[in-house]
Amino acid sequence: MKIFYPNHLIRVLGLSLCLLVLSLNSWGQDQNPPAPVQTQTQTQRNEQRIAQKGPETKFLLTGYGYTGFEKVGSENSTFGPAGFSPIFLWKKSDRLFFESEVEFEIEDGNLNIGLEYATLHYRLNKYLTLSGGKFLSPFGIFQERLHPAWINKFAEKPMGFSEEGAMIGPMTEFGASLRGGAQIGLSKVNYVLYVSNGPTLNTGSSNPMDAGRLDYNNLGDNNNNKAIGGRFGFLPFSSSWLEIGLSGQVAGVGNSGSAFQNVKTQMYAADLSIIKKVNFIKSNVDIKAQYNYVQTSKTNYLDTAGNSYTFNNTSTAWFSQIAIRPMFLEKSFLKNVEFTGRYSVLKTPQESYWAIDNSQVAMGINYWLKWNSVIKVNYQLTYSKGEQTEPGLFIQWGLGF
Amino acid sequence: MKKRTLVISSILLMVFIGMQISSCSSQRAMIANKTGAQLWAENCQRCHTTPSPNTFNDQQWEAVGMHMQIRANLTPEEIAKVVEFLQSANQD
Ligand code: HEC
Repeated sequence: MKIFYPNHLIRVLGLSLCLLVLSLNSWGQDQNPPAPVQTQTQTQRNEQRIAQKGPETKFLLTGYGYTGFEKVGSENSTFGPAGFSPIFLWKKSDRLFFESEVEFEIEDGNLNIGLEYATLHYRLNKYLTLSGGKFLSPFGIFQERLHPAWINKFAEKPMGFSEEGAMIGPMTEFGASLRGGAQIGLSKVNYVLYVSNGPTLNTGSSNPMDAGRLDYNNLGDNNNNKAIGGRFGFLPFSSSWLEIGLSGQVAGVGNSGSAFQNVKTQMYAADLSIIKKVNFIKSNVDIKAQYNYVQTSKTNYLDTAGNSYTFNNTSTAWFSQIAIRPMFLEKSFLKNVEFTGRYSVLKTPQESYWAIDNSQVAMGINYWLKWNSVIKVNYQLTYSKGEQTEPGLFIQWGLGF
Repeated sequence: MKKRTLVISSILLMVFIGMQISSCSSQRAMIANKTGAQLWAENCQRCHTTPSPNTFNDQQWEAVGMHMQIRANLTPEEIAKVVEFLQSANQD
């Protein structure tokens, strides 16, 4: 009995202590989130993460914004252009994907709103993805890969690659495409083949000054002849530091049933991308270049006096650019500075009303605030045949979301 | 004499072909063994500055991964490795 009594007491005391600890523990949980389990390894945590991937649809609202200031030649200085381009991404499954960009831009005192792209994608197999809708043109690399303000190393687009002056080559396509990439030994290839509404010939019926120009806003089509185009890219080295691309597109551009119905355009582009670490300047060197050639078949137009005339309708535009960023330096300020230079040339038919024979040198310094936020300061000189050289100063701040 | 030349040259040819095949398979292994981090470092700088893993959470990286796979014509193997790396290295 003497032994049983303390034993009993110990049991009761032990039980009460347990209850107290448990209740304290659950009280603590109500007040604070549970402390992380320290014993888990990184691998276990990763496995857990893969197991709880969340909803099947993965959505991301991203995009970019930009603003700036410019002073060009004798024109008044002005703030702008400024823009806001939200991008919506929906990954519905490992095969099904949708992307869209809406564009708001204030330029030359106007607000422009547009649907830059809206594309559905379906991954058919390892090597091919089928896409449809409005998409950035894979003709060359500038429009599809380099034009967003936070990617473009310069405030302005190269001559011939924006609506300003003359557009030589498409910005977007409205149609369908097949695309993909493959590893071949140490090299890689990538390819895009597309059909789209294609460009439309401006015959000068509303303004004779525009006769022979191409309108690339291919939201509708003026004939049954679709544009067919593609790009083939080759990355010879396994670390992907070099890519060479060739593009082509053929399209009927005249209104069906009109005198221009047989007018066709053929265009070609060649592009080059180099990205390489150069040790002795502790920098990344980024070189990009693209050459566009656009030829529309010769046909007759009416001049401002109503007389028939014709010209060789061939235009070319090209740019080559370099950006050097000493990102491997110790100093944090210099690491984020980038030195840039670009040369671009634009030539349209000299016998047309829209003759241009320009070249341009742009130099700049960029400061990277973040991987997708950059402040650019550019000085630009534009040389036009028979005219005075036009200097320009541009400041632009781009920010990806 | 002629026969010996033939034997020697066919041996040399076989050695040459063998060397090609073995180097091919070692090349193939080199490509197949690339880690997600290496593919991220090599590929994501080709068009823009490389984003760090902390830019997005795991789910957002899935959407970005598919966006970039299509835009850059990367192979599904490449992007799967890159996304796995980004998801394991972020602080989500
Ligand atoms: C072929 C060029 C190219 C390559 C290579 C590339 N990107 Fe991009 N990336 C782009 C373009 C162009 C955009 C802007 C999309 C737009 O504005 O339509 C972009 C946008 C992004 C964005 C912003 C969010 C989004 O999805 O739009 C992230 C994040 C990104 N890329 C990550 C990556 C990663 C990670 C890699 C490496 C696997 C990569 N990129 C490789 C061209 C590329």
